[in-house]
Amino acid sequence: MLFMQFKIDDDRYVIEAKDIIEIVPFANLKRIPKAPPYVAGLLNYRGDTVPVIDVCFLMSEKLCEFKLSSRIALVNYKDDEGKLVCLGLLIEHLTETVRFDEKDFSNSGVALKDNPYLGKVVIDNNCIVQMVNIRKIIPEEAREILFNGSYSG
Amino acid sequence: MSENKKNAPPKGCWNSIGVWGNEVPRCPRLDEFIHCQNCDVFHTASLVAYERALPDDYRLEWTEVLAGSKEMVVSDTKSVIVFRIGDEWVAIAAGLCKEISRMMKVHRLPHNKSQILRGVVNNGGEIRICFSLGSLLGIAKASQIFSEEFHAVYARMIVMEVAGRRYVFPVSEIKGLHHYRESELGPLPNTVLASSASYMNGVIKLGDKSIGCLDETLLTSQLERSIR
Repeated sequence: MLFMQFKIDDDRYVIEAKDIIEIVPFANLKRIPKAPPYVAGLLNYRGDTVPVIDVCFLMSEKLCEFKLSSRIALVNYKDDEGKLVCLGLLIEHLTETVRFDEKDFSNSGVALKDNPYLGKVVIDNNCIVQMVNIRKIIPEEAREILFNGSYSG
Repeated sequence: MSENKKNAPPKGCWNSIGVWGNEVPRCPRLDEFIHCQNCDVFHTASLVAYERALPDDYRLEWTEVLAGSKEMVVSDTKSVIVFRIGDEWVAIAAGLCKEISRMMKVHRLPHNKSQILRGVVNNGGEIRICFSLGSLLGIAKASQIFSEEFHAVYARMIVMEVAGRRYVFPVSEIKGLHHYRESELGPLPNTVLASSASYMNGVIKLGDKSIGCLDETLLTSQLERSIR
């Protein structure tokens, strides 16, 4: 299976490549006043409005830095009604693809209620790499804000 | 650790002992990786480049690109093989060209008066009929000198297959493959000889050259007629 790898500090994480539509550079986003800090803003993607989540902030409480390696992964996200919508994930160090065998992943042994998106782990070059489940990445409160409005995908 | 450091390649090694440099001794890793872009040293260095701050106007530029509609890849291109006969540059669909070979000895046929029918050739153990496209298209022998210094010109034979039939014809020079879009195919200029114009379906531009695109159906029907 092909994964897209990113880093939070020195820790490696991967998201499944099959969910990714496109990786685009860190373009200007329209900020949403009073939205939680992990909502980076809205992206005009080919004429559609796509909400962008700052994964860096979500996972480390630090805003994503303005670097060339900070990019937006546009992914297919299943909303509460099971409808596929386009969602942008703003991630730092999003530069590499890696391949892992699905059967090499094992349970991490830690399951926190606050971050249900953290999935199984795999060991690569003596490093632990953790899978991030993008279906669970948006916190409950943000799902209300992002998808219950007039957003039509 | 120090041992490792001693063996580590120098900084920017791809520009000195790698593929973008010509220092000797060459990087020993090239034997394994063939090109620096497959090497982990180059890969690691490229990640550093990504850690730079965003250049000015970078975000603005990309915002505009992403807001616009996606550029679609145009796939209506056709591929032709371009060659020269005498002074004229012509092309046939690349898919029809089965083989390009060195000049083969043409055995003339007794009592043949046709200029178009040259004779027969031995093409890999099979007897094929050899035609003269130059005669068919009414192209005279080259009047200009096409060979330049550092650029040798070789006459070749093209083996073309249309509807299961193979046709062999000599050409003065092969230019190579060229892709063009349907929209680039222009009408034939009035100056083109009437005899050759009837076998072409248009003209494409390649640099300063005008290349006549041969229509294989028209061409082969005339070649067939010449052997009856």
